[in-house]
Amino acid sequence: MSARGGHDWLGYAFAFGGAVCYGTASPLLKIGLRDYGSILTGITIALATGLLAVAPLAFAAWHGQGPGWRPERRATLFVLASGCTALLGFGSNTFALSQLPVVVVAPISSTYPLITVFLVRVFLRHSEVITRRTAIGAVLIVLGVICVTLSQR
Amino acid sequence: MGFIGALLAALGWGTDSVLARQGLRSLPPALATGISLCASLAICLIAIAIVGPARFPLAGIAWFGMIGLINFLLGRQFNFRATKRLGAARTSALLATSPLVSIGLAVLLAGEQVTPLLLLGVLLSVSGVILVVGG
Repeated sequence: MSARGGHDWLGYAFAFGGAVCYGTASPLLKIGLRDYGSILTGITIALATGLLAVAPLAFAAWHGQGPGWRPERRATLFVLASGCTALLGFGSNTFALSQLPVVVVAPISSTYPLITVFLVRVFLRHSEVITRRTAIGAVLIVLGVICVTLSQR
Repeated sequence: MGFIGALLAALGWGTDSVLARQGLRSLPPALATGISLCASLAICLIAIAIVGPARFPLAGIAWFGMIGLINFLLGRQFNFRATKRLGAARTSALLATSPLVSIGLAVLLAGEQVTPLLLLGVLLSVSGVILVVGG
């Protein structure tokens, strides 16, 4: 089931595509940090490259909305805030890993889907339905990821 | 401090999808990806202006550029497209399976050992995915 109703297989394909990309980038990032050092400069290069590459798609999406279209200010602010919190997540996780072993950090940081479920339940309950299966599924995924991460220590 | 960092990481990633979901109601995902990357990049540039940039060889720039294409051009855009279609909760749960990909690659390419705990983790995660997709 999806926010649009019914099984949105393209939506699931995008979600798994995202997981594959993040899962592939993570070890590449570790190698990059080991070989080249500075996380801040490295991430800035990665962000600048990503932004340059996405710019033509973003402009095309803007023009695709029709003449005279302007993004809503409120929506833009939400997405800007999303960019800030994504960086907060990434930066805090990297900092935590520099201070504590992964066996301590991973079980805490990988609980983020549960925080999303909680926030959706509180703030988006009128627009997004969370079934019991979704909530239990999120818990199982978090437990599984914790086991997988701990198995590598 | 490390403990607080781990909590902030969960809070940051957990909040990210919810905020994006609100913005994606009226913004196309590609444009939203560009806007969110602007915010992340602006913060990094401010931090670099304060602490100063590190020297990077050309190979390092190329390496992190490649990470940018995988993680931000593709990863964040897929994330936003999925969030728009499935909602924040489902997308966040499915994206959380990304460590399975990392470790799957380590097992396939680096020959890392498959342990009972690893198998249990995969089993739990796959069960969770089946519930989320079927829910």
